[in-house]
Amino acid sequence: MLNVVNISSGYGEIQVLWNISLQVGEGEVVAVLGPNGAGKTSLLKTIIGILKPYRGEIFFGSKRIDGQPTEKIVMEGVSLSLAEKELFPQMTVRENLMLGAFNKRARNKLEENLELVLDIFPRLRERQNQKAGTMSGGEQQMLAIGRALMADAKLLLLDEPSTGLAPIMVRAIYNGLKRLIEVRQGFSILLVEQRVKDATEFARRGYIIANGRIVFEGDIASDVRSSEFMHRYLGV
Amino acid sequence: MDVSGLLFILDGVVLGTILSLIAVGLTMIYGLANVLNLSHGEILVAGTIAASVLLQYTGLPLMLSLAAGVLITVGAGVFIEKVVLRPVYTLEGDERVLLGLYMTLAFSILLHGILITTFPTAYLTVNLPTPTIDLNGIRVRTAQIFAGAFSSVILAILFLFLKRSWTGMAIRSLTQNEVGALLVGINVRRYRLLVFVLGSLLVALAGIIRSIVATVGPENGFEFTILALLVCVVGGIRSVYGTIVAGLMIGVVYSFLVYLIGTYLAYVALLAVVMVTLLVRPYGIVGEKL
Repeated sequence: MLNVVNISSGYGEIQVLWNISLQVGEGEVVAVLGPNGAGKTSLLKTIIGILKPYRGEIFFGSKRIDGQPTEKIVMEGVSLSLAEKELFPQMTVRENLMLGAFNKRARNKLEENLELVLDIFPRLRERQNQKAGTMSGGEQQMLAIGRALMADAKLLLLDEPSTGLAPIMVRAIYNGLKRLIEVRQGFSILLVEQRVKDATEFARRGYIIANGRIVFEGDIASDVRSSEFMHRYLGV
Repeated sequence: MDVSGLLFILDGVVLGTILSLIAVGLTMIYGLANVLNLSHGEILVAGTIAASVLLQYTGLPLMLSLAAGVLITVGAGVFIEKVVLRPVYTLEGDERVLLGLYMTLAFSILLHGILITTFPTAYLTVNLPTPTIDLNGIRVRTAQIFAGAFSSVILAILFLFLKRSWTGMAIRSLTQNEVGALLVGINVRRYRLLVFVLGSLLVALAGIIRSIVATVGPENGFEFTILALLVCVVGGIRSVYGTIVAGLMIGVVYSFLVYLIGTYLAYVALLAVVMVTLLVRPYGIVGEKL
């Protein structure tokens, strides 16, 4: 479904990614692990078109999406939820979610997707009329993911959903995501995580990025748990 | 208070809605592009001058002349966005705000010079065929009421547009979080141009409405900019709702001060009122910390 081929990317003259290749199949959850500053978030921003790659190609389905403006890529069915959340603080939860469905394709499915989001994150249903900026960090994270889903996404790019949250909130978010892939057949997630344990419970296959390069690719559920592996690639 | 006092309040409300129409464009443009457009009042005058010249020299019907004036103002707005601000958009943050001030101020001075030397007598007064009624010996121009109603309707439509339509929601989202807007698939550049068009349209209409209740001259541009800036700051620079409330407040306060202490002192007193308001509420009446 997503095929990233030999991507090099960065911010202006500061290159942060070198020859990244990865794939996400239909209905697959794939994790990207790695230490802080490895380039994980930059990879997601490159896929969604906020950063333009220097070299390489990105395909979504049969379409080539690298170099396209972000609104076209969102329209194709790719959606990004950032760790910084980037919500509209003065707007209500409901307005934030509505805006998630801004692209023309998603507007037709607004009711259906709204019901799905409120179903997987019941907390948002209770808070529909609250201003986004007044919610807790965990609730804001749910809203950011919910807003990304409202775009009628087929592939969710998920950037560190657990950063800075209490364990109970992390569990609520991962439960919601598990429910999402149960209900939506064929839904794919590319998950960037620092917390290895959460990622390995959720994704089977994964990649490890260090210093902007892929240093490992494979079955993270079994391999990553060995302490030697953790030490070698993740420095923990 | 007698009837004439009430009339001053009516005057103030009408002036207030006009100031709101001008200031709302400034607020939206600042929210979206981080540019405080100091030529905003000058393009209002460009429109009234165009209408006045067409009326005087070509005998074009009133409505067509006014429409042409609106087009001129909107064209000037597009010119500012596409040409004058081009170098400004390559910068971010404080640098963008500063260069935006310099560029729009320079454009404003240039435009002012051209207009005032080329069309020194292009005053615009629109006389509506509305009656003057007699209230206890005081003459009330119903054109006043018509003008107030006209601008209130425009403000109400604008408010609903921003609150309910997809385009309006997109504009509001952009003023709150540009990255967030990008993520939901909003084309930032296209909406920035749209907001300049919308802001220019509103300022052009404000010019026409102002010419119903008073005369707009070629030298008035900078005064409109300054008054609109006061409204923006008092309203809380990023809030459209606050801008509308502040416009009404400043309009009424100003007219009432004119009634009490006369035109010249009223201006000074108005600035004092604004200063006190900002000392009490530094982020404006509905503004929040940035």
